[in-house]
Amino acid sequence: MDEQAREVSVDADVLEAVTEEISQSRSVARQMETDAERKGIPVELQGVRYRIYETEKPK
Amino acid sequence: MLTKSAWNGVQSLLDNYFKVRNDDHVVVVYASKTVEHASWVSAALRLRGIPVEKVWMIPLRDPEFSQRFSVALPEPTAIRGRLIVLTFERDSLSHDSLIRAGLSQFDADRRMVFRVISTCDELFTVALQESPDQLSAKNTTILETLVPSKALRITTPGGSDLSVTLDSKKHRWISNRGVWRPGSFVILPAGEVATFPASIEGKLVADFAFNVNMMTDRDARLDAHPITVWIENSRAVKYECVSSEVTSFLNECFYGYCAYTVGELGFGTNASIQTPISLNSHINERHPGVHLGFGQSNQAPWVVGYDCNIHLDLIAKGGTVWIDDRETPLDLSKVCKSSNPHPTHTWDEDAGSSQGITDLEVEDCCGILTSEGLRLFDPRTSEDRLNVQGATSAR
Repeated sequence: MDEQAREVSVDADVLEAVTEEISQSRSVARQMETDAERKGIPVELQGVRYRIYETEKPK
Repeated sequence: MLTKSAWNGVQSLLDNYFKVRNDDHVVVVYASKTVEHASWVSAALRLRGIPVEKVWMIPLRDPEFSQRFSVALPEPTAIRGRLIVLTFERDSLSHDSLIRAGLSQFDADRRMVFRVISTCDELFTVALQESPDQLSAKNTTILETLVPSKALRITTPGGSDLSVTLDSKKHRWISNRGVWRPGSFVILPAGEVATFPASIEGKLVADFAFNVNMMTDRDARLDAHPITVWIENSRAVKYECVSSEVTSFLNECFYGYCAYTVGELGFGTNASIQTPISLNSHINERHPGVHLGFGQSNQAPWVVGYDCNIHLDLIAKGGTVWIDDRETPLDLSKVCKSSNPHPTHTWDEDAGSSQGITDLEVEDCCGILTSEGLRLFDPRTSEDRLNVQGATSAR
């Protein structure tokens, strides 16, 4: 059986709730990004690599 | 995409990892790249009637995060249950100290922090299908078996053959199992036991995936073109891969960033993870097999005598561990669950935020501890130079 066909969809009420949540969060994220850029705070890290994490050291 | 399988993973997160209750209060922190997956969880919480606040963040450097985070937190007296903070990032692990500072007003016994690194569909459809109780029991078996041991021989179906000595009195063990303890952050995805090898030599054939602490869009899967690394005196001395692109990447890691010291001996325990994913992800590292972490170690620099910015995990498929003079080895693909309590001496977190944003330049990639402090390693000097060879056999 095709793998995509085997995947079962979620219930309609769940999908509706999730869709609304995503829409609201995306709207907030876009607004926050606009505000940050207006203040000169970079929101995208392009072309430069960072130490994104380090293994936790004992205190 | 939200499938039934992914939704089951969301429910597993809430029921098996959080063991969420109706009197809990949840704060979900998300970045722009993780909006969708964070929203799956916040929607699930709302459908259960559990209070949830959401906080947006810029990964790594966000001068206004503290303010946004503190505004989203409830008053400690207003929570009857627990405060659960859940953060979602895809490529990073940010703002540890800011989160700890923001939560300092809450009782340690009632503030739980779960930090997702490698947010993607497979976190929910695969990695979260394994419960913390299952991971904890398997980790316990590995710890009970390996912590007291002195010498290991590790082989894999792909051709690895490693000789390892351990010193558990000197080197700490990390057990990442998705179980929260007061004062610790839970790193997700979960499912690993790791330590530092006192000595290691032999050959590693990494035929599952890599995981590196740099941002990269490179396909992390190695099943089509495994990497073979030869190790002497705990250092990579030669490596090969039929892919010229992967070899170029290794050249950069090993030679450009001095990541040739073996800084970690790791064993994945999440049996749900059987197929590598393309994302540069911790999910691959939790595969039930052996992996070596090159470069940055999981110990304090003063314990191991060096430090390094880069950490490159090379992950093999499966593994058999022969312990001291025992006749029966440990098969990493079939670890039994211990019925004993999990040891209390291990560390829970195997990753944390960097102390600051650092451009990874060769000049300050790593250092060696001397009597005068940390000295930069310089591979150009005869004193420090190691013979690291790379071979390309592109066909």
